[in-house]
Amino acid sequence: MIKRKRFRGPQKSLPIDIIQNEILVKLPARSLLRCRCVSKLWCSIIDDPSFASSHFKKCQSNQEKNRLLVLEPPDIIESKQFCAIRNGEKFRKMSKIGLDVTWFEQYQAVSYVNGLICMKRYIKETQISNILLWNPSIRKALELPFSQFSNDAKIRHDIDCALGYDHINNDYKVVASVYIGDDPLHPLHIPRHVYIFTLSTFSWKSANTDRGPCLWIKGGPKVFVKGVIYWGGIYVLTKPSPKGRFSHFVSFDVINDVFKYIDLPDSEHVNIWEYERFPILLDQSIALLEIFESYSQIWVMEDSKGMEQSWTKRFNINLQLLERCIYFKMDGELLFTGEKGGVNSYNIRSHETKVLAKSYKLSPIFVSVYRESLTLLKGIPERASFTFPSHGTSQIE
Amino acid sequence: MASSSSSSLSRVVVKSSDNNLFVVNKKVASQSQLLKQCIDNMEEKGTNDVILIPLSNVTSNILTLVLEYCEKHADFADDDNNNQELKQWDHEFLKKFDYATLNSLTMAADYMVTKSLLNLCCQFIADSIKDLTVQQIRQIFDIKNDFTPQEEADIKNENAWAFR
Repeated sequence: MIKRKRFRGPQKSLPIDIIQNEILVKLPARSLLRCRCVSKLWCSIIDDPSFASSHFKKCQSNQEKNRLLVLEPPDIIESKQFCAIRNGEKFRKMSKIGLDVTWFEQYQAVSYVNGLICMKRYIKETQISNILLWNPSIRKALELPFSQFSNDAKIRHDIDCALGYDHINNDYKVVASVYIGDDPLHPLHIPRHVYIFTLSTFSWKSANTDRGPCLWIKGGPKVFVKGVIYWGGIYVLTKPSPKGRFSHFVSFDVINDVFKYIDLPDSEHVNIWEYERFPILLDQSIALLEIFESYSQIWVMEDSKGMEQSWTKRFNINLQLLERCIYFKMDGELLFTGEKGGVNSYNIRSHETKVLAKSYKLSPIFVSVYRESLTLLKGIPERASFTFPSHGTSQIE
Repeated sequence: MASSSSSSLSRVVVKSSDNNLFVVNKKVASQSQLLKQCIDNMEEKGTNDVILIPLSNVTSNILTLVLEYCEKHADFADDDNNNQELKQWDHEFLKKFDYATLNSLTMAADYMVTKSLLNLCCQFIADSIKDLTVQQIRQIFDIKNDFTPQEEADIKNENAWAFR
């Protein structure tokens, strides 16, 4: 039953509920930052965290905006590293943000969730990586505190991390594993410590993880879906098996703080260095992309409630993708670099290959579908957040 | 529900706030959830009379525009929403109006529960204001600046890059 709306009387301007729920939610983040100056009411609407989430949902459902976020490799001579927004059809640059870099200080992106990039700022001098959460749509960043790591930080170490979103509590978490070099007790990839950072409390805690026999693959791609982060790992207790690069997915349930290991299918190749394996997202589910020298394939996980997971080979890709895959879009479009540079796309269902950009010569270090978002605008400790880049160049083309 | 009724209306009469009458066929009227609800209610009662729906909130010139939109969209009702021809038509349709008309049309779409027209108008307004200055936006929405100059400067400085 639809109720008759109340009579609004003759008005020159629109009522505020229509402005808020129908117009402001459709604006890009940059325009909204300007709109905060319009009036006290508009400012309070935009600063409300519930507005940020309805704005994000609106942008997500707007399928027409096919844009990619691309973090490019640092250009040491120009002292710049660019984060660009590129059009998904032609890979054409729409806008870019320049980050100041040096030989000793550069940026790596590890995760991109709800418009928030989880980045490592690697400082070569100290061999220490700081973790930043950065929302490029509003140029706001947050540096994670590091006090709990201080004991580890005294010795040479490396950190790997990944970001996830807890939709139940509207909170963000970062899981970080610390690897200490030259540590006979923790060789290779076994993290010495695992920590969990919670944004709402702005603090780290030690993670309870039965990580003993599982080596976590350091620096590999991370995938976040439905409250769970996935990345690659190898189970060391298994007798030498032909499973290859990694035999398991390590998963971290962001809502319940639970780690799990997921068995992967046996590999067809024995020589573990001749192929790559990636966790990918396919239609909102976790899947496995295997890249061999002359072909690739995609496995999907069958949901067998409570039973052991079973994997089914679902797609074959007759392309040479080894070390050329840039990004796998959730709808089944794979981006890869051409033999002589350039960016191509391949659709796993129609098998259609398209040239997106012929002259693009770089090899991007991180690509994801771009999402406009107001995350981090408000509701975080002011002392820890800052405009980033503070004086960096930005331009829209 | 309505379909089980023995009677079925083919047309309704809609009355604007300035007392003009519009005869609208049922398929067109059904684009508005408000009109559709009125029709369904009457059909449930089993009436055979032509019903009159007064819209005390919509003037005849705005109602003409809403009905023009509903007529076009009723023609495409069975197509999927991504019809390029329809999208083009929508754009041409809205392009002719000034902000005052757009506002009235938006409010009429909201009042008559024509979700797709409401969405279309608001997307059009959002697209046209996204690059405007704060002062221009205030003018369009007839908003009085209630910040002191210092307060306004402070808010601007929080994100100075967005104003360049």
